[in-house]
Amino acid sequence: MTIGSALASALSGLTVSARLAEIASNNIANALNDGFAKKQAVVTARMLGDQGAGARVQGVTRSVDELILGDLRLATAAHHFHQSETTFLQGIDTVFGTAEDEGAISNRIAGFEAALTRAQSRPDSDPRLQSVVDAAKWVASGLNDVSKEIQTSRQAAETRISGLVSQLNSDLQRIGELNAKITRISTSGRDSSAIEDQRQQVIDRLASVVPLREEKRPNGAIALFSSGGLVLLDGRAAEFGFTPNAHVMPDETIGSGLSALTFNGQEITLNAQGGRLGVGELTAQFDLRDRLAPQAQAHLDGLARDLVERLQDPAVDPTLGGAAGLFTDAGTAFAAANETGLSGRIAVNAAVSPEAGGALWRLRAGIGAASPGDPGDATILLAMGAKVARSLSPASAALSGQSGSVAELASGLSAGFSVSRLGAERAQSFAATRHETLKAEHLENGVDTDEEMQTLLLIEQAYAANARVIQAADAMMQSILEI
Amino acid sequence: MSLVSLGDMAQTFMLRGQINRLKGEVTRTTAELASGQKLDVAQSLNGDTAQLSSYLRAQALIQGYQTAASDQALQAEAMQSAVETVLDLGEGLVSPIMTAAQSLSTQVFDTVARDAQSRLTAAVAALNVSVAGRYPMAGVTSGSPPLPSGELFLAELKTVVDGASTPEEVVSRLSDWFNGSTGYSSAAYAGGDGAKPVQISRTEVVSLSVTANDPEIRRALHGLAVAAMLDAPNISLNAEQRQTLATMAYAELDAGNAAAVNLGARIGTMQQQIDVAQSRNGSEALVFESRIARDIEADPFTLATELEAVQTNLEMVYSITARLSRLHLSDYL
Repeated sequence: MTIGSALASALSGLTVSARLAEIASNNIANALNDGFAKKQAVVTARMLGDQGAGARVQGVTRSVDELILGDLRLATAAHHFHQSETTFLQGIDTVFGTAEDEGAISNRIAGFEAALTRAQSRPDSDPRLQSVVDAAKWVASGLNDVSKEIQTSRQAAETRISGLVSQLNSDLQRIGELNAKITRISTSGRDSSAIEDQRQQVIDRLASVVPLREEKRPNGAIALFSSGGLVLLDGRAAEFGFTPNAHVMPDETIGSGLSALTFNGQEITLNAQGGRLGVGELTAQFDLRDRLAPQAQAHLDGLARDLVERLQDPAVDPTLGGAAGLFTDAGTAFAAANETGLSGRIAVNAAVSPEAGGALWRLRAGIGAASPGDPGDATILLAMGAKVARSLSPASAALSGQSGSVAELASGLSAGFSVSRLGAERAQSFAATRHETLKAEHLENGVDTDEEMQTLLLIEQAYAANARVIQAADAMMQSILEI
Repeated sequence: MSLVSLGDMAQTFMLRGQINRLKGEVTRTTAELASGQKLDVAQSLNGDTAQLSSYLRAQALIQGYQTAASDQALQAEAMQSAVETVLDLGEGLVSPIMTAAQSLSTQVFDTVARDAQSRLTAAVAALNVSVAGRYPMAGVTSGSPPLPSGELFLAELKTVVDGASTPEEVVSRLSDWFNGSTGYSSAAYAGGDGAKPVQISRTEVVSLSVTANDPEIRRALHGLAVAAMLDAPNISLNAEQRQTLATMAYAELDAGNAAAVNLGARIGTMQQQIDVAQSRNGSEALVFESRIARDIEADPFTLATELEAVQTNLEMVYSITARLSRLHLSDYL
């Protein structure tokens, strides 16, 4: 060993210390950065032939627990899935109303029945007839509101799907570009860890949309697969296609008015249990649009149909002559083929409403009556009340197997919505807890400022020691030159 | 878990999650305390809200039934008072008619006849009474009086017995007119059918279908009518015949009064039924109210304890957060 090589070794030691300080300061600066993976330097001996000549930083590793990260990504996707479904079901439950809400559909119907009871006792009283009409309008507007909520959610899902698909496509492209960059940088021997951080962040963002698995490819590249087995990115990024519908109608479904999701040009079907695209937000929005919302709409329409048909019965009101009864389908009589969307169109017949040009006595004498008739005749009012309270099986296929009075059918529907919502909330809280736990574990591998402080202490010492060596070597050379 | 280091953010993340959860609990507890109602009733019932809905519906319907019951009570009272008036008028005529049945004096006959006529007019007026804009004895056509005015009624009766020559003929003509389908029922009674049965409680239905066309009313009016025709100018009867007529009138009056008593008893029974229904409604309303309260109301004592516990918890987490934030190696270097 010559003094020169001692000097060289000390210099390399200084460089390594400086580099370590740089890494430590980078770590500390990013202590609050969620998507940052802690960097650690790999220090090895520098070789000159067979002899060691100092140290060098061979590379920088990112401290990431792949297993935990993979699980966290799947948990994130599940969390977003349940979040989306729960939000929708909570919305429906709130608008439809749970039993104790004054404005709940079942309570509106009970109010209508009570108003009918009062009118039956004094059929000559205009205020009492008016309160029946008002109660009927309250029921109809309640059904309209719930239908609107369902349709709005459905349209929102359509818009969100469109946004998610374009985000998916652009993110996959970006990851492909970052892959190429990382490969270039690492094959030329430089440090690609910062770009790898960026890539991890994009993948994490994507993980809430589609549950994915990451696989390593040579030279620092990665491949992405959905948890159902679709190849999202392997050398080339996959292309997802979707055509949004600007105005989704209640009777439109996949294939007839609504677009399905295409994967590299091929249509794929999604389902809430998993399927090709797994359980993530994209699946949730499709599930919402194609299953949950139409189902809720169908149940609601079934209830509306039952109400309309009961009072469109000539046995209840002999003056109808085939025309609409107290409740109409947007002003006309209801026909069975128009059931879908009925709850959004149900309205009180203008013939009984004075502000719409009708007369209150039609409630008592019959919708199609020409004259007010006997003021004390409660026959039609009694028939209406009896029909609404009778336990019948509704004609709609969506409510098949159920039977009861209109109020009982409505409360059955409300209970159904509540049960769905509670189930979704339970699943969501479980998914949220799992996500929280995994996230905490993942964050444990993050930057620990105490550790960095300790390392800095050591780096300071090492730097001082190397500087001392240089001083000593310099002193030795001086003393030789002074001879 | 790494043996060498533990990320900074892990601790913050966990504590933050805890604080959020506890704050949510505090919000829920205070909201429930303030409103007295559970925030999520469906959750406490596990989604089985059908029974609660049926209680609420029963509560709403009972309120409707109470209104109907008080309507029917008023209606029954009006009917009862009309029938009682008719009965009083009829009973007051009994002793004058007995006097007339034992006398041959034209004066007596004329006095009794005028008395009967004024009583008949008063009875018709009682049946034509209106209460709060409608006519209780008119059935479903409750907007107009059931009978013509007293004078017109008397005039109609006089045309019925016009030209009769024997007391038997007078009585049989009046009888045919009151009981036949072309007499009283179509010519004098202008009302409609009796009212349909009305539900006044969850289990009671009352049918106050009494009208001025009921057989009892007709009988009572018939009883007064025969006596009123004692001095009819268009029938030619001598004193003995008039005495006979008075005797027959007494028999009809007796039957008429008995019929009015029966009708009064029938209405009285219905009034009792309405009474029972009203008190049943009251007690059922209380029962349903307590059942609903049991499902909906939040127990303030439990909530207060919960709130205490959550507050303590939250304070502890806050102090832990503060302490941990002071524990840094950099402070000791």
